[in-house]
Amino acid sequence: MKPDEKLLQVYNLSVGVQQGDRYFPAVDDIEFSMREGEILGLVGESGCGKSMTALAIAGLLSDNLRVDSGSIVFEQQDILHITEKEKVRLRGKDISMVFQEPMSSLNPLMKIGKQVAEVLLLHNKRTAKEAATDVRNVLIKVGLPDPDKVMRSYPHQLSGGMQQRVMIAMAIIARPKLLIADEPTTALDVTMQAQILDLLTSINREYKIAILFISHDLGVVSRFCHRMAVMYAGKIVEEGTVYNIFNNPVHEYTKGLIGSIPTASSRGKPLVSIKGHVPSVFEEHLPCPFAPRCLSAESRCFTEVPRRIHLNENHAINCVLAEKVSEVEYEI
Amino acid sequence: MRNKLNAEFKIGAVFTGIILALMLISLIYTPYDPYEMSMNIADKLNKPSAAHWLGTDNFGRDILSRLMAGIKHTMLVAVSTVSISLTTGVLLGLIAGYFGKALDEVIMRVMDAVSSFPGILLALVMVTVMHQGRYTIIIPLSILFIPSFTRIARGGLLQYKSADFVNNAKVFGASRLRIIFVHILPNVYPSLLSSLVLGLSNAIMAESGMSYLGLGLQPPIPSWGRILSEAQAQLFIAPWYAVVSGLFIIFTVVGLNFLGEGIRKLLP
Repeated sequence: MKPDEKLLQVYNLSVGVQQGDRYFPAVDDIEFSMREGEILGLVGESGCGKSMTALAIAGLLSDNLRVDSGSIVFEQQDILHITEKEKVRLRGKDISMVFQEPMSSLNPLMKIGKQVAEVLLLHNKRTAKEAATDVRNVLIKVGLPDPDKVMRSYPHQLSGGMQQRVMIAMAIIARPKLLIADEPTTALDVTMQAQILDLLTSINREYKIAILFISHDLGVVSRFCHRMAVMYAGKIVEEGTVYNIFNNPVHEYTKGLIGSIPTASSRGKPLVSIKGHVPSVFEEHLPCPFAPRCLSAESRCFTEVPRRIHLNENHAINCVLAEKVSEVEYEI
Repeated sequence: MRNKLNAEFKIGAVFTGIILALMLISLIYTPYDPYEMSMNIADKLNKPSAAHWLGTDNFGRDILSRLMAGIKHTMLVAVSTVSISLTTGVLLGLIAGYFGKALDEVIMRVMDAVSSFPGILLALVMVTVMHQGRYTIIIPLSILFIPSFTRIARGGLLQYKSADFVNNAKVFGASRLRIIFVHILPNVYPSLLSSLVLGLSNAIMAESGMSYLGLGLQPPIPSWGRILSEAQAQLFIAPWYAVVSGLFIIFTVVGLNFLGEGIRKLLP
C-alpha cells in the first residue's frame, strides 16, 4: 500500500431499521476515511448513529438493521459485498473491536487464556502452546501484572478494568490494522478510563493500529484522537483534525457540544446546554435535522439540504449556512 | 460451587441416591430371585415379615426383590427416552433458532402439534400401531419429550444470539458453527440440566402409566407400573402390595423433582 492511501473509506453509507415494509434511516449518507495508524474520534449524543456505524463496519448488524446504500472500503476491498467466509477471515485478523461493556463481552464459561488464544487459533496456524506464549505476552503488554493467574481465571473473577484490558488484549493479539473501540471507557471509573486511554495510545504508537474511537465524551476525544467527526441524528455534521475543530468549531452543534464541557475558565457560570433533544430514528427528519435546535437557524435551513463543504484540507462541515463562515481564520 | 446447596437439592439428591443405590445392589444381589414363582400356597401374598420385608405377591415372589429388579428397567427406559429426545430436541431447537424465519416456524409448529396431543393418548396409539417389543415404549415417549427440549434450546439460542460475547466472538472471526456449539450451547446447559432431571421423572411416570395399562414394558420384566396393576387386583386382600409399589414410584419421582428444582435454583 502506498503511504498516502486510505485504510478505511466510508462512502455515502446509510444504515437503518427495517420494520416490516417501513425503513427508518439511523445513519444517513455519511462519509469519512481513515489513514493507517490514525485515531479517529466519532462523537455525538446517544442515539445519533455512532455505534451503528461501527457495527456496520464490523459487519455485526443484527437482523432488523440493514445497510441501505453506500460502501465501506477497507484496503481497496468493499467489505459490504464480500462473502460470509471472507468476512470471517477479515474479522479479528484485520478489523477487531472493543465493546462498551467488558463484563458481558466475555464468554462467562470460558477461561481467559482459552478465550484470548481462540482469536489466534482461529486465524493463524499455531499450536496451542505457541498461542499460550503469545497470550501471556499480550496480557503483560496490556498491563495485567500476573498473566498466568489471569489466564486461569474466569471473567467474573476479574475487575471491570482488568476485563477491559483482556478485551483489548483479544483485540490486538492478531495485530489488526483497524481497531474499533465503541465507548471502551464508559463503563469504567475515571482513573481506570485514563489508564485504558494510555494503553490504547501506546498500542496505536507501537503497533500502528488505527483506532476508530467512538465516544460521547469530547474531553476524552480532544486528548486522545488525531481527527474527529461529529455526528448528529445519523449525519456527520463536522469533521476535521481535533485541533481545528476545537479551536474553530463552525457547526452550531459542535459549538454547543464544546461549550458544554466544563472548563476552569467557566467556573461559577452556569453550564451551557443545547435545548431540545435528538430526534428519534422513527421521526421524519428535516433536511438539516439540527435546524430546530440551532441558534443561528434561518428559514432556508428548514428547506435546503446541507452539502458537505471543505473549509480546508483538514476541516469539513455539513451546513447550509457554511458559505458565510467559509473564511475561517486558523490560528497557527 | 459458591452457592450454598439448597434443601431441595439435598432432599432430591438423597432420594435419588437411595434409588440408584438400590438399583446398583439389585444388579449383584436381590434378597430372592425376582422371577421365581412358588407353587406353594403358603408363599402367596404374605404380609411383610422378617423373611420378606415387603411381603410376597400372588405368585409367591418377593416384592422387594421385584421392585429392586424393576429399577434398572425403569431407569433404562427413562434414560434412553431422555437421551434420544434431548439430542433430537436440542438439535432441532438450535436449527430453528439459528436459521429463524420459515424453518423456525415449521419446526416450532410441529412441536406445538406434538405437545398439543394428550401425551398418554399419543403414546397409546403409537404403541398399538407399532410392533410390540419389550422396549417399544421408548420410541413414543422420546417423541413426546422432544418439544420441551426444543423449546429450551431455541430459547437459549435466541437469548444469547445477540449477546455481547457472541458478537465479540463474531468480531474475532469465529464461524457460525463454532459460535453455536462453543459459545452459546454451554451457556444453555444449566437450564437443559434441570429439565433433563425433570424429564427423567416425567419419563418414569409415563412409563409406569403405560406399563400399568399393559402397553409399556412387557412381562416378565418387573416394571413398577405392571406391579402396581397386578397389586390392584389384590387391593383388599393385600393392601400393602399396592401401597409399597406405589410408594416406590412416588419416592423416585419426588426425589427427581426435588433434584431438578434444586439444580434450577442452584444455577444462576
